[in-house]
Amino acid sequence: MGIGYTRRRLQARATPFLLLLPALALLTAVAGYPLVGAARISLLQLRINTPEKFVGLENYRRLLSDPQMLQSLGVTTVFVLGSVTAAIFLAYLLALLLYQDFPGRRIVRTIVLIPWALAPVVNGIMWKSMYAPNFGPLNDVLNRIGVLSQSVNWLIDYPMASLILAYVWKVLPFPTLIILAGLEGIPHELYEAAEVDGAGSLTRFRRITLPLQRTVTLLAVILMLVDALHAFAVVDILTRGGPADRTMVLNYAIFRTAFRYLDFGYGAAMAFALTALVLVLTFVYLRAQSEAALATAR
Amino acid sequence: MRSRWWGHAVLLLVTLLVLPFLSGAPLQAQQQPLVLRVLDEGPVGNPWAKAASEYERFTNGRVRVEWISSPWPGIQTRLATTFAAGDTSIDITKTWGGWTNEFWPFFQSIDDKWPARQRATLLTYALHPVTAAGHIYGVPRHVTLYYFYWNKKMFQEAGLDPTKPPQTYEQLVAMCTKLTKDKDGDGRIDQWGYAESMDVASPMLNTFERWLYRAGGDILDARGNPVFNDRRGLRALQAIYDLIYTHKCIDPGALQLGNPATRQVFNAGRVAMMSMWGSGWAEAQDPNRASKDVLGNVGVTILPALDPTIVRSATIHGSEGYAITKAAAQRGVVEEAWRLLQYMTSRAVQLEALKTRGYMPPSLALYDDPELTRDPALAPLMAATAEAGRHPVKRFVWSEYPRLEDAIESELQAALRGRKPLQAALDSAATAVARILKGP
Repeated sequence: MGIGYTRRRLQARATPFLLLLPALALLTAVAGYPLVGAARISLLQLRINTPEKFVGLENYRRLLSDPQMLQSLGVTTVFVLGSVTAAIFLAYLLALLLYQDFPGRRIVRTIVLIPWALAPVVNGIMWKSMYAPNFGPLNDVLNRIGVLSQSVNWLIDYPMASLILAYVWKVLPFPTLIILAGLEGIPHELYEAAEVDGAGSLTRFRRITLPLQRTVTLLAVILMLVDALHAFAVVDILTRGGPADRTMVLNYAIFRTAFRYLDFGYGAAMAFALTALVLVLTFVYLRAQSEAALATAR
Repeated sequence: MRSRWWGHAVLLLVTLLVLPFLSGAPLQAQQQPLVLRVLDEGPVGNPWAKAASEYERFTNGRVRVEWISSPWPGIQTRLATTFAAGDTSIDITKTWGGWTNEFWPFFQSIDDKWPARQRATLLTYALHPVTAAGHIYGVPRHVTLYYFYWNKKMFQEAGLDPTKPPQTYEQLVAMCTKLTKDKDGDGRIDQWGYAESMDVASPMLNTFERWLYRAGGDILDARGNPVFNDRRGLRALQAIYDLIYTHKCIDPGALQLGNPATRQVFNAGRVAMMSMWGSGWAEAQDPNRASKDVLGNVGVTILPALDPTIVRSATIHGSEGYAITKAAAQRGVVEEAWRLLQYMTSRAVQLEALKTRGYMPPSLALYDDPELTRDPALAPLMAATAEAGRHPVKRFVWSEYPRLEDAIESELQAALRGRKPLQAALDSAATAVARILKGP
């Protein structure tokens, strides 16, 4: 219990921090510096052809009263909720299908991953061609099978639905994989016992699969929410936020404000608002995860 | 053993340090090439990039051109971030009127290099892309206008004279209606009379402007107030709306078509007439792009009048050029940049850009060049350009062009989708524009 002991204890406590130091220094340089820089810019009136001026929280105040910002928030809510709901629902269907034992299952599982591997820009260009009013395959197929009597301007008449479809098609493999991994982790004996007790497939799904998949589903939902909030390429290529700002999601509105209108200060404030939104979601996710871990431990 | 290695290493180091002095060629004295950094599209398929690399050989390696490649929309972003950050990594940038008006405080004025006699050798509007606030900031590289194209074979099939394209709106409507056909009788139109790009990316504002100028209107008046919502603006928008919904000879799908897609439908033989940049001509001559019914059957002329008592024709020009930045001035390379640009926009390069890409030359002299005016592949486009030059229009550009463009287009889209009455949409757009011009 002498000086030697105290020093050893101090060393033992300090070692983890010392080991973390290089990584922390790197993170501070790579992420921290630009973050602080952006925070500074968000407090300025910084436009390309006017002198820099400190305006305090004015840009944040402007956020609350800007009708375009409010509209953009509404559009983002519709896009994010629509995308995530569709993606999780379809991911469940797909995961349940891939969970079944059938010949060629591994090949199908690999094929399902293809959209995820595509570059977002390629996905956007592909869907732009699909939606083309005159020569797009979508109109052509729907016309041929008699669903449509004349071609539809998908990106003009149904811009949000078209955007969600293109986005969900691209990201679907991701929640599918998460949910599939969760399904693989459920002990098979539970299903066998339920079957012996006379439970049908729907009951088994409702009483076994869904409750045991809660954490996994939450994880998929939160990660999808964060991803959908960051959607950019698909918007840029398909609609550029139009027509008439009907698909102007927040992430694209930030880009437009900062790099098209060259209003960097306000753009930075908008970016911080989006970051705050993502942080809240991340916090919810971490909280849910720790609660789930506690429940498992009990 | 170890000490011998050390000995060798020290000897090698000393030799390397001393050798240049012994040979009379100190390392410092070796001349490094002067580097000029150019921001533009390409370099693949860009005739000006090719010229820049030729210039390196022309100077025997004295000048090296570093091509900073960016797609068209990325150039504005790149310039914005570069200038905002105080970065000095661009000496020359591609520009057009919109960007020059936006970024001219970061460009180097070179008025002294453009004496009046030099300006007189160019088309009247050729210097627009490099001019702002009364000063010239660079060199024009090409002019490109919106032209009217028609498919002569489709005209013949419809019983129309293939040598007579429409000259007025009434003629356009009559021909457009006649050329719109359900060829296979399945109840769906498979040949449309006319196409204009109206997608937001095209951009839609350009289409409206072309009709507005032909109606005798303008975006802003002399005092900078929006006037595009007056009766002339309404007439212009009504003309487009009627072609789509009243005469039903423009595919409503055109609202989703940008310039490349509009050229595609024309070159596929699905549309009989279109308004398009000069690239429409180059692509219609290309067997890899145009179908056999289109190839060799296309005519080009100036845009038809909306009302011939007001103006015979008007167009917008997409002239582009290169501006020299203040970073070049700080580095003391403005003269070198000027010499490079002179080379890149020489007669030979203008000709190559015209022949390979359909970019019209800014030099007046080339429009009288017998070699070009007799070339069947170029003569019609040259003639149309010269004719359009007789109806010049000062295209609308402003320092906050993107913001104004978005505000107007948003309302035009709403009007043409039938979501808003035309006049109400124009009024809303004018209010938005006035608010932007007033500033925060």
